[in-house]
Amino acid sequence: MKKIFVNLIFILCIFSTHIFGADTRFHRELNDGELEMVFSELGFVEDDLKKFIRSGKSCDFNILNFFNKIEKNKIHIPILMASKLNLIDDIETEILMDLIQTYKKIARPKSEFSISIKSGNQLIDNFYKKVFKQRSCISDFFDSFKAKISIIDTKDMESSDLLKELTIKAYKKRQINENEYRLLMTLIIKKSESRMSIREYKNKREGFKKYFNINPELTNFHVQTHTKGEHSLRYNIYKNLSSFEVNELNSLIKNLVSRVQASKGEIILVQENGEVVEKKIMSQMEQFHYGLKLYSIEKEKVKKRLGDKSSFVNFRNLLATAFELSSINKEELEGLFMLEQKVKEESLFEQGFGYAKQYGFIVSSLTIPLVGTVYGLSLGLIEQYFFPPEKQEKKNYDHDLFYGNCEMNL
Amino acid sequence: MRNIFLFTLILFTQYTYAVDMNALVNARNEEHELVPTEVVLTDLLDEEKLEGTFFKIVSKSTNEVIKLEPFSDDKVLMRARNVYYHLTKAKRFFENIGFKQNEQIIIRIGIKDKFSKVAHFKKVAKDEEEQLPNSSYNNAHTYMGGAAEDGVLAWGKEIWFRDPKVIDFTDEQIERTKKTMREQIPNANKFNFNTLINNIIYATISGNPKQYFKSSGETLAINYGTNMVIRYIVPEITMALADKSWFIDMAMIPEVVYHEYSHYVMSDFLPPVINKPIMEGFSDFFSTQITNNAKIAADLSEFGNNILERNAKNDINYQANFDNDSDLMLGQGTAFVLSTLTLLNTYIDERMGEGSFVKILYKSRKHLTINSSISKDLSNAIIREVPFQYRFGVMSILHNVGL
Repeated sequence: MKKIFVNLIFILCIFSTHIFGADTRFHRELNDGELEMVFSELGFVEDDLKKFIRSGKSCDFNILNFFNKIEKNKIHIPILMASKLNLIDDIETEILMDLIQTYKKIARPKSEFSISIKSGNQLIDNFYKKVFKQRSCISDFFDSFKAKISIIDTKDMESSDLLKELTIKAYKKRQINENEYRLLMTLIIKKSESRMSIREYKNKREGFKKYFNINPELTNFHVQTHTKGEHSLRYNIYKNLSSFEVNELNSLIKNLVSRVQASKGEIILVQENGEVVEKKIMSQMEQFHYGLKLYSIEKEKVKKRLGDKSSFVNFRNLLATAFELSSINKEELEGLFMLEQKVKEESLFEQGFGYAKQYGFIVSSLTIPLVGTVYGLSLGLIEQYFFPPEKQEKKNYDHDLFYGNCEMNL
Repeated sequence: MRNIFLFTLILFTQYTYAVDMNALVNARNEEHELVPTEVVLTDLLDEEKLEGTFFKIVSKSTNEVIKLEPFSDDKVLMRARNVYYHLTKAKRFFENIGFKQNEQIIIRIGIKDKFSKVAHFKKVAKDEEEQLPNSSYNNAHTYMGGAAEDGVLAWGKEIWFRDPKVIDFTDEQIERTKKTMREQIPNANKFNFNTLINNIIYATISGNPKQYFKSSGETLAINYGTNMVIRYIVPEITMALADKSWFIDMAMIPEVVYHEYSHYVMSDFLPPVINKPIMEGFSDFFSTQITNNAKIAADLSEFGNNILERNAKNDINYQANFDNDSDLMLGQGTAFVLSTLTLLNTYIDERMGEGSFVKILYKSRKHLTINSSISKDLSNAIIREVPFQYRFGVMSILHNVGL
């Protein structure tokens, strides 16, 4: 029942995405109409948003701070709107939405200020009075403060814990309001995580632009592969890979594409005296499988070359990288991605039968032998009737010169 | 030259004097049920005969055009009307994808003769006719034209519909089918035997052999019993539920008419002189597209049972013996081609717009012959006609179905 319910919800989500069009994974959760309605309710207009985003100077926390008057449950609205209006791209959206997730979870402080500070009070007061009034990036200002707090005598307290306590104190003393408190707490938590800031992303992108032709387009592939709670493929590329590494990844798909798209493939066997022993023209599918076979071999070599980054050499990352660097177009990306997908999705009946088979041992072991026998017999009958052996015939590709008998992972 | 002149003359006459008539035929409703439906028969040359510019419906091996009695329930007249209407519909479909019919083709209803490449018709002996049900009795066929020779007049491409016959499966055929099914069900006896040997060894070295034998003995008995019951009961039940006899009045089934007309359309490159999975799969696929349903020859009402039903959504992977010219694998091979073309159709139409893939497929026939293989030539032919940017998607689909 739960499975059916989940499937129904999934179908509804797909349907709504189809109607309103999804820009990023986040837009799947909110349709265009709702977004525009809530955005206008917030009292913003497009020009305000443009002004805010542009003056944010690539600083994630400054951008968030512009919206600190908005109640916390709606703070994502202007960000999604900015994304919709192309004021920020999908990765900037992802970075900000990641911060917002943490921001929303910050509760009002319950604990009283519990540490006594003997020195550095002036420094602390200065920071909390100025942090939301100065023009530079809040995050940078915070970093310089963090570097200075070693002078505060706090009996070996962890710096992040100390910062949290100081922020609670500032909130209690009304030096900062609730939203500012929430923003600083987000900053403290996120500083301890290895995350990419908008500035880092922009710098990396500018670096890539020197060597590659960057394709900023967002496709269904990007939305489909971006699962909730995880970073997108594009985010991971920019966060983790250098120009050299993306070039290595890119070359794998680039080579595959050029091999498959070659207008003709021939295998010629020649003797030492130059006499042609055999000449075979490859079929389109043989050329495709030849490309895949070489891709598989080259992929292992690239994995070795990348060492600790070898986990990035997987099919999805490779496709995302090749598309990012304009080596393949949208249709090629989509077409190649189909290799990874099942052509036909299992029906509910097939899924149910799979579960019934998978958990058959429970029935057999928890009940009397007769029930187990009847259960097994019924499954056998269903299988024979609905899934006869000829339908379960496995693919072997023996007919193909380059793919036959080889197990290959994408 | 003379023929072109005559055809142009007929065409001109037809446009000047073409007659449309209301008539009752068998057609699919919105629920895809086969129901009597009043339709308009178009392009008729005459109010009283089933002859149009492009189709001439004649009786048996004669040249006698079948009468048009729009609402008569005479079976021959019904079949003739039905065939005329659905051929016109199929022709319109193919015209939209680039085919142009430049001749009048003869459709024979109720023919009893066999086809002869030399003599056009060959009489079927009485005893031979008796034997026909035991062979594969297909009562709809598309034939190529033949040249005049030794007193035989030349003839053009023709589509024949025989009268339906009830075909009974013999006891021997039923037993053979059961045996084949039993052979397909995995036999667990060897596994049980190995388990028994293992259990004896473990029981010998365990502290409590009596208890060990008791529990493992129960398990083995259940395994063995289940295996035997499945192997016995599945074929018995399947054959008990299956139809013991079958018949299909092909002239009354729209998809059969579409299928045969598809053979005619492709006959410039794929003459229907032999049944091959590629050409049968193509015809089935075009038939699903014209009837606008994944199932063809399904829900036949009183006009047949579903033994020939085909479903374009079947999940079948390629097997090398589809290309072995074996009659046994013709059905499976055809079903594979049909399901693969349906997958490609969905992929291409979603990207290039509805109706795009049928155009591609129609063009791809130019790269095929009756000896073409599924594994190599079919893929090549389709990929060559697919726009460059969609080739990866097409190749991925072909790869995923085992090609």
